[in-house]
Amino acid sequence: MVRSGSSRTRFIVGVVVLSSLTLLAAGAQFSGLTAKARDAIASLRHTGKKASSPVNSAIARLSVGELRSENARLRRDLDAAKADANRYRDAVRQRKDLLALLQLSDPDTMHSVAARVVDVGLGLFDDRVVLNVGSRKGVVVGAPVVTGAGLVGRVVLVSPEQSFVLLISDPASSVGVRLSTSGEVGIAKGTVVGQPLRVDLIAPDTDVSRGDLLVTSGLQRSVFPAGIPVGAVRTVKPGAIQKEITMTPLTDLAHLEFVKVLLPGSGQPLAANPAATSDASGTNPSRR
Amino acid sequence: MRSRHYGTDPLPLGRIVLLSLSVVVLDALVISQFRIFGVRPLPFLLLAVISGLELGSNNGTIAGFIAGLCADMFGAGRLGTWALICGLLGFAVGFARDHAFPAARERLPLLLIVGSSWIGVLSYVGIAYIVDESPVPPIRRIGIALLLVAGWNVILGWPMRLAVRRLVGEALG
Repeated sequence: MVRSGSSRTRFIVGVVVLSSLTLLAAGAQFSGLTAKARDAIASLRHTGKKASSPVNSAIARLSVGELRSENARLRRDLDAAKADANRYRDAVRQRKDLLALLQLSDPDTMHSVAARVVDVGLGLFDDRVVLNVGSRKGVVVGAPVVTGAGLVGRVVLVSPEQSFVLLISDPASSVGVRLSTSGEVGIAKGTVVGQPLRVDLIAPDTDVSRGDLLVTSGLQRSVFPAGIPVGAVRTVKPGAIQKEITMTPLTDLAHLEFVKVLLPGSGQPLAANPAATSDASGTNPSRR
Repeated sequence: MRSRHYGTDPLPLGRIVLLSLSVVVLDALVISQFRIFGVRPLPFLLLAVISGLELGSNNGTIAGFIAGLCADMFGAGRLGTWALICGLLGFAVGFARDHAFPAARERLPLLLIVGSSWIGVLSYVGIAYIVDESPVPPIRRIGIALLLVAGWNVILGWPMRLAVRRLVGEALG
């Protein structure tokens, strides 16, 4: 059948639009295929980085003089690290005491899997990180991700070998939080990586001060267990309906390297449908 | 001089798929590392635009769809998002070339590249809002993305056009 120019154009555009809309609507049906494709590209990226690292190292070590100065610097670093380790042991003990005193969750004691941040997401905006663990290690969509300092975000996409984490600073993220001082409950919403989070729904008469700790509230339908430290109050302004509060995350989200993914059965209500849409606990996993 | 107006010739699908896959792999390995303010180039979007310019509206639609589909497969977005955007952009750019930018066959119309990059980014934000119910990013952030994606696409426009001409255009004769 021979089509005229304009009807052929209409046919092609129609097929393309229908196919795209079908994929958009039924994307979950192809999750196995896309997971394999993403794992393949992750392997390629990893191989590329590994291949380039010896070359970079060789270039960096061309000079003997540089080696000597590097050696001296490493000795100084080692001495400093030993001193840090002593302080760290004491800080760990103090932290455990404090968490127990405040009845907060300790991510160190939860069932978890350690992960390394291997990449930033390939999306247009850069608010996801990619971890080197996936469903083979038990990671599921909605799993909270933490560091020793506090909450990082939650898993929004999993393939067998890797997972994508939506950071708490992403505009799509909202986390149910509780002020550790007054117990008042609010919602911490992301803005941009590196920028403070906004805390909504704190009543205007609540006593809040700069530096107050905010922890996950763990209220009903929350994907996060209660009591994980999230951030510290940065600014407080009075408001008619609610206090205008910003919060600095306790974790340095711009320089993540190692994290822990909390697994189901670690005391948090992961079963509370992680694919649920926006609520006071954590929102909208499939995005970007 | 040989004409480069391929709007009605059948498209060599194998070559388009190969070119799209090459662009996506190159993007994942190298291009995506070049981020400014967290915004990275979108070479598959550029491929759709250049395909529209070089191949016309019909073939540009198909080429854009395939490029977008490859990006969806390997990226972290919702499957079908970039396929829809790039397919429609390929058509729109090809249509604009035929009706408003006849000189585009000889010179790269920067205005068309910048405009289509903006439409692509805004469409992406819009689809994320409608389909995923994602909140719209702050205006400042969208503005930065518009500027940077358009800038990257202008810079990469010439090499991409060369690649499309060599790999696809010559197969069309």
